[in-house]
Amino acid sequence: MLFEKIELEIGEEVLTVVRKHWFIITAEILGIILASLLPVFLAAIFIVIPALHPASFVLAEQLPLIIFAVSFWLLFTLLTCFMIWTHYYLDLWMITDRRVIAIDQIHFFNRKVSSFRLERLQDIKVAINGLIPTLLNFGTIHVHTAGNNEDNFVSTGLPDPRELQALIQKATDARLTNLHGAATQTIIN
Amino acid sequence: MTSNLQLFEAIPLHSITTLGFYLAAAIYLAFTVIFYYHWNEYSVEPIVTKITAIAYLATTLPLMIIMGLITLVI
Repeated sequence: MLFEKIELEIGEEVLTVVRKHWFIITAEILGIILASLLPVFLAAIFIVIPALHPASFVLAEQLPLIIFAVSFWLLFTLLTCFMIWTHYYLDLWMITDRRVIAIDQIHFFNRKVSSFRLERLQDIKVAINGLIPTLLNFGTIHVHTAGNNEDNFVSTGLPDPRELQALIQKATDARLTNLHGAATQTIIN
Repeated sequence: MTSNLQLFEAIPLHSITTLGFYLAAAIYLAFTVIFYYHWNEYSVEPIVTKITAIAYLATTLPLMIIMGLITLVI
């Protein structure tokens, strides 16, 4: 399991685990559901326009082949649905009291795991573009870290991005206070 | 010259379904292995993994069985 592989440090606490907004997966799954209904539309067209089928066509004779074709189609739409679900579920941001771990599950066998320690955080930008993201409150988060020129930490479709930004900022402040407190204590001793 | 339609009619229905079934079975098997690997390696919550596996098998296996039976019947 993933938590065992990430290996949290001793005393490290997971503050939250965030996945993309439900609208992202719903829109994708709805598209696949519509595609799965294609045989129904084809059958309706076939029935409505008799010219499409020859006079010798007997439904009972062709039924096994039709069921086979529909099963074949449904199987592949289902596999697509499970692929979408897998990408949705395995793509996450984990925020702990010491670091942020961003896991991008782009496709099967295309996975990017990156993390940064909170003390390296320099800037977090939140962007909510469009009507639906504004109404449903989801958007993009860009995180810039010290000494990192690449914009590695970008994730789209995250729910409640301002809340997430506040949480990361708060955790960063707490982390810096802890580190500075410990450093001061060391100097005094 | 044989047209595509004539060629299609010349191929027995049984061969088409058998070929279709083998193709579907191969893709299904490969997908299942990849799917299992990803959930086994990267999942966070075992309960979600279990529910996903049950839903996957409960929805896809009957379709494979139907296709297999039709291949045998035709």
